[in-house]
Amino acid sequence: MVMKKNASPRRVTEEKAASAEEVRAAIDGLSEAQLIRFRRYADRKIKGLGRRGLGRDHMDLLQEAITSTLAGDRHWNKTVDFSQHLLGAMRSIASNWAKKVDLAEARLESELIYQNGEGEEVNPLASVPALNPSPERQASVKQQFEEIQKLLAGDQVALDVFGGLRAEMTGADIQGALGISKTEYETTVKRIYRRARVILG
Amino acid sequence: MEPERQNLEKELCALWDAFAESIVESSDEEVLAEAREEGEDPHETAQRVRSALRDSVKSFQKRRLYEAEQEYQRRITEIYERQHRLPAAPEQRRELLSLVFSRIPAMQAALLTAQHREFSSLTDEDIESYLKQLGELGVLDQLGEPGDKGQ
Repeated sequence: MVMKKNASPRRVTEEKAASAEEVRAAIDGLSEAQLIRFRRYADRKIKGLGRRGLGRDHMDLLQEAITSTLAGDRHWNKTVDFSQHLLGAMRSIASNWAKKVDLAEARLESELIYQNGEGEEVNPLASVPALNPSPERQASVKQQFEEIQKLLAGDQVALDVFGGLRAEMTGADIQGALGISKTEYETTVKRIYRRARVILG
Repeated sequence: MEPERQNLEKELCALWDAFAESIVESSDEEVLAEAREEGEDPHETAQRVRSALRDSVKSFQKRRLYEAEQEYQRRITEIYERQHRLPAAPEQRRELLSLVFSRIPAMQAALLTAQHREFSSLTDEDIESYLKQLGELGVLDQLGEPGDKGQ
């Protein structure tokens, strides 16, 4: 199954909005592979939020996708496959959760910044060590990255894609920079995952 | 957060996000194979997810029902708590309702005829309840002050 990003429109006309009965019927019609894909997608999206997930788990994301569909915050346009809609809703919800934390942190920090007597901006948070993640956690992540790199040794495309992802490049940018096709990029990311999963847990 | 610490955390997040998007592009066979490789029973996992999704629909509907009931109760309470200047004595309240019905026969039809009830069979509580509802609808305001009986 292939899905385009942001395939699920947030607003559709009322006559196209789905009822609870229609959503329930759509859930009943999902295949085992689709359901497992949701669970795995949600799990990885939550891990992709890191501490911005605020302790939520994959079930929270799945449930929110259903709830927001029924509440009309994310209408399901029935011309779009329900599976695609749900994945799009989860992507959008995860992105909003991340943005909210980023904004709150930025606001908090901006409220604390002041000008000293010499007109210079002082950020009290800049001198405060972050409580989370801990140095131990950071050391662990660093070690994980090193181990993944060792496992990818000899697979130059995988190493390059891994480097691009760590540099927070988009998939399209990585493809462009490495001159690889979308299919090759996707296959490589899956290859990285299969090798990295034992390390990342 | 210190830049290096933040970057490592962000790098890890970016990696997981790419892994998430990669599964969107995976075929059904790949998804099922991956689950088996990681020791999952695909059938059992799928059932669990389906059940959780169904529960979400059920919870949403229950919450909606609860909210609707709460709203109904709130409005009913509001109607009964609103201070209408009704006559103090039951006889006067009965006279007032009779006046309303004589002035607006449609009200009598709606409240009594449709329910196959006779005016004389109404209890004092019925009368008070009807007057409060009529007050809520603004009917009593059209008649003027309860005490002056429209005169």
